[in-house]
Amino acid sequence: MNNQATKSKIVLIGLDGAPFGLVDDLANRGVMPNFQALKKQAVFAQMQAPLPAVSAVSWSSIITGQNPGSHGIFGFTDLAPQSYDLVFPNFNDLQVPSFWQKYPKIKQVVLNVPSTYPVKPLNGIHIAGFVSPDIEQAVFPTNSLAKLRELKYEIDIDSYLAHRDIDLFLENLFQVNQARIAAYRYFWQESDWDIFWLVFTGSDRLGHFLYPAYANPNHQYHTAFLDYFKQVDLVIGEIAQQLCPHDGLLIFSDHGMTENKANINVNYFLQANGFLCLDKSPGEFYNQISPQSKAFALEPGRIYLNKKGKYPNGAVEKAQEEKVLQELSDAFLQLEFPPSFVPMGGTSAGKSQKVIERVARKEQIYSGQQIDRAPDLVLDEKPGFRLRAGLNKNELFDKDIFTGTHTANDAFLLVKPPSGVDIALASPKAEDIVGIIDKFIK
Amino acid sequence: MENQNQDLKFVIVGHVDHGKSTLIGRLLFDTNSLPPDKMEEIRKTSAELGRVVEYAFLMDNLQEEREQGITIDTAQTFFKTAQRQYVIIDAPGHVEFVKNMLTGASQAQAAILIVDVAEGVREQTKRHSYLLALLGIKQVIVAINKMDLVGYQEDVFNKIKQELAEFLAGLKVEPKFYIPMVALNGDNVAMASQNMPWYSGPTVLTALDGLQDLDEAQNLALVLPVQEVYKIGDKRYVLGRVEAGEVKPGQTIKVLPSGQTTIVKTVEKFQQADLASAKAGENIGLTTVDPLFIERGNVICQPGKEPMAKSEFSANLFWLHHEPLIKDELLIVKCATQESLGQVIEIKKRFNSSTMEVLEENANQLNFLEAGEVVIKVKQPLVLTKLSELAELGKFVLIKNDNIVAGGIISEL
Amino acid sequence: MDRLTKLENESIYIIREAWSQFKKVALLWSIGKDSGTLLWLCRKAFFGKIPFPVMHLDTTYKFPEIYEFRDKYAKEWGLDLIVAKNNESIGAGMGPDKGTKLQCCNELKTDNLKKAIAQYGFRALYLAIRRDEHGIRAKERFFSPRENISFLWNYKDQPPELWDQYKTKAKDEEHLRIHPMLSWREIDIWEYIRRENIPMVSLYFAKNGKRYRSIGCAPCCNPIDSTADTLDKIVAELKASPTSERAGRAQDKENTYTMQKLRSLGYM
Repeated sequence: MNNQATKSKIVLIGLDGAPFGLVDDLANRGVMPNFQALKKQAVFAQMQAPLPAVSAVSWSSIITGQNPGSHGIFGFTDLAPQSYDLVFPNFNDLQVPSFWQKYPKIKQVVLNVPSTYPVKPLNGIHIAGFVSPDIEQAVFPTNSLAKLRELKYEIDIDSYLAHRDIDLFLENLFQVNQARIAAYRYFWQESDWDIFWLVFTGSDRLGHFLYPAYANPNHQYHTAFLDYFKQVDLVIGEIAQQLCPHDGLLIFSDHGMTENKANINVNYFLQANGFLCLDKSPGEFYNQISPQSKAFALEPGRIYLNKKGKYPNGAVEKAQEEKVLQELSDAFLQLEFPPSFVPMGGTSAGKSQKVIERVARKEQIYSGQQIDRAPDLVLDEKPGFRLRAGLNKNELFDKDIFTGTHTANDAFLLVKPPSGVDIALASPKAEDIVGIIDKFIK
Repeated sequence: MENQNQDLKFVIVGHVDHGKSTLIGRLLFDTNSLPPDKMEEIRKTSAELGRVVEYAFLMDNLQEEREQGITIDTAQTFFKTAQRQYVIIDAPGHVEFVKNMLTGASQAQAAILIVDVAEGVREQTKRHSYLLALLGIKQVIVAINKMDLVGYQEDVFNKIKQELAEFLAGLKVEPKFYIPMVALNGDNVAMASQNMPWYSGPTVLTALDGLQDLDEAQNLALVLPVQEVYKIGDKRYVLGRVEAGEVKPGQTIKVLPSGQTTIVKTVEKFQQADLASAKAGENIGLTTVDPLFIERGNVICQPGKEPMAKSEFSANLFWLHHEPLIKDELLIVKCATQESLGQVIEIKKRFNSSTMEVLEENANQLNFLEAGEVVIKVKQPLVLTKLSELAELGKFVLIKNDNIVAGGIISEL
Repeated sequence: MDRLTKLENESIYIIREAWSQFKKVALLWSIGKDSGTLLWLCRKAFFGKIPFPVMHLDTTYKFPEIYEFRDKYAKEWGLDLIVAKNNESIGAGMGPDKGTKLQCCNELKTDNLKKAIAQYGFRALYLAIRRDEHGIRAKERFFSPRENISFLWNYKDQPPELWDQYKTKAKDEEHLRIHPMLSWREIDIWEYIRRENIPMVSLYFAKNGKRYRSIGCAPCCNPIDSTADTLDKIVAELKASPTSERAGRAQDKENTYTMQKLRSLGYM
């Protein structure tokens, strides 16, 4: 960092998938003392993520200040136009400029923001976060690559390890985190910047695979879980200490996390209720959709009408759309979690409960030019249920190794504005963050 | 199809980035040994690091090695030719991983030493050559890689070949072939190169097919180190693997170090209580006519042709531990199933294992990854041979705090 | 010597070597094809009378065929069978429907094993793992020390194994994992089972177009489509080198990478 002490700086720290309640709790309990100290001198609030609450969508909102109907990223996956071919939207598919593209005069370091691959030239340094298939297209300028290699920098934790061996997974997670911290320190010192973005992803990975370790002190990996947040807190403290009163600091997550009670296989539900028919012969994934199908789902709970004219085997006529939407909505709202399936820590033989909080129509939650490409319905599940859209499931509810699942309503946002700037946060949303930085700049 | 049941384990060694993993990938590719999804995985992984050479990733299983661009440990991979099946043991080139390289290479029956023609003999080329000699690997193919970088010129190849031959001669390693090749493009890997018409020798694959699955120990006199004695009821089995020669019922045997003799009653395996004989490589149980006291660490031999029990011997030693070997410190010497307390009583010469430069004569210690010409003294005499006579009794390890800290071969008795 | 005979000899040597060094040793027998083959090799190493216990980590969720097979052959082969159950967890209702599969495995297998090691004081365990199971297995040694409490495996700094010399001592807080079958591949296992005519659980053989390629707890195993109902057919099926399901359609490399990443995170 060039010590131009007069110039205000802004630092944005992301903790992927860290819920408000957890961060608040760890701060109160002294696991994250630096965060606790900041809480007292900053504004700290629960934040709403866009639906569906997955990193690809939420981070796209965070960096553009737009809702998905405008930025055009509705999930990690999508279908190519006029087809059932699965595609993976990336930074090129983002329909509005990111914050660093919007302010090309401000020097920025963007380290590990998810869903920003492949990188584009910018006034600064950009190292994309997951998913980044090719590191050379994940780094700008490319001459930073040598340094990253020297630091043993890795874009992401190898989550496959968690499926095999939790110890190795944790080892990898901490290694990746150490290298990430080394990279942040290097660019912090050695490059000239006004705004610094730094995202930690281990928080999300721990949530996915080891969420129960957080609350249970007897859990084998409880200490490891807390250690990660301690490490992050140390970096937060290190950063806070280096900032002047006229600098701004934002710390936030992109979505929340809670313990996963059960997976809900949405496409199985659609099949069982006659909305979806698959024919295995033509190909994989969504190419199996047969002309009898009225609707199908993409991960996690995005429901698309199989519209005539929009898809090769489209069946739903314009005139039927409203009726089918209503039927779908009704069916999902009836969906109950059976009592035989006792949630962890829940009371046994409890009553069955509804699992879908609401079925949102796209017009209710999205606005903007990309709304035609949006899912027709988005399921907003009750916390603790994990929506899945696998096509070859044999049961409505199941479980797997993912012990945590995302939540939309309890991301968090902490804002320490530059001295003299007032910020009030009334139920903030992920897409409000850009507006806050805008204010700091002015 | 008989041959398809035969296999040969070999190791590929050489300096880092001289093309080991690429050669392996190419061998697998050219022998059609890659399943489609493996191919997909390689593309994906190499793409993540933006490397052009995709074959190299085949052997690199952990993320960290991929990232560092080096192979840390020993993996094994298979391919087939019409001749036989091959098991490739990949050996890491990096100096820190010598332990792992040795672990892999000590299982090999043959080796390919790969050398980048543009770089010539480098540090690990030398160390690995030394280790091949130490491990007693006699069948060596030298692959001179990246010929495309020097315009496929014969004189450059000859110059490197000359350089290597001189170096290897000093280690008593005599390669069977020197092959000019381009691993990445496949020149002289499976197909004769169109770019080097001046070369008429074998390709890497034909050279491999020309190697032998060594069973020479079968033609020697019997050596059977005793692993354990195992009793079922009143039957007393002497368990062990025949390391040389053959053992038959009715044969007179001598048990070292006691020197007692007896006659073999039965040679047995599970559900085969009356084997006519067992040859080198077979694990058996044998019973004897006389109830001799036999225990682990004894060596059963053919009287008149037995090796000698020695309490002092000269050896070439390779030190693998971070803490140095101190002359006269007490260690455990282990050879086959024999064990004795022992000491290195003399370090005649201390070598840099990379350059083979003599660092010191009459040294008092041997440091990590240094080699030494030493004299070892053991409390209990061990039955030993020179490595050149019989591999199993000619090589040994030193053990300190329950860990293997050195490997050695016996040069003089 | 052909490949299978070489493998057999390598394994028997290691089995005997480990027993010679650690009399407090046990074989982990899952009743599956790999540990079933290892059990057979142990029988061969000791002329049909295995001098150490054979331990089955019983989650109580195994297929009925597995229990039948276990009890039948334990008797027939005179095995010193230990059935280890984590009664505490089972009593507390742990199962695949309660908690996650990982938790279930951790408690009913891993913790169960830890308890058994402590209870019986085993210094070494025979395991039937193979290098070809997974990339990380390529790092395994024949004799591999593991810490008793966490089962930590320091795979980056393992003792060397030279020739046939192994690490044959464990520290007090460690036990050694003995892996006599490290060099075997899945196809070798089946060819050897065929050659030796080793009895195997019927679940491996196709019935109504399905068979199990690996077996364990009933709730967590899925059969594959197969008509292989004999050893010959299973060997033929494996030799046909099946491509895994993800290799179906031509995808560009980025997509493949992305797909795998998303799968590992549960997004696909």
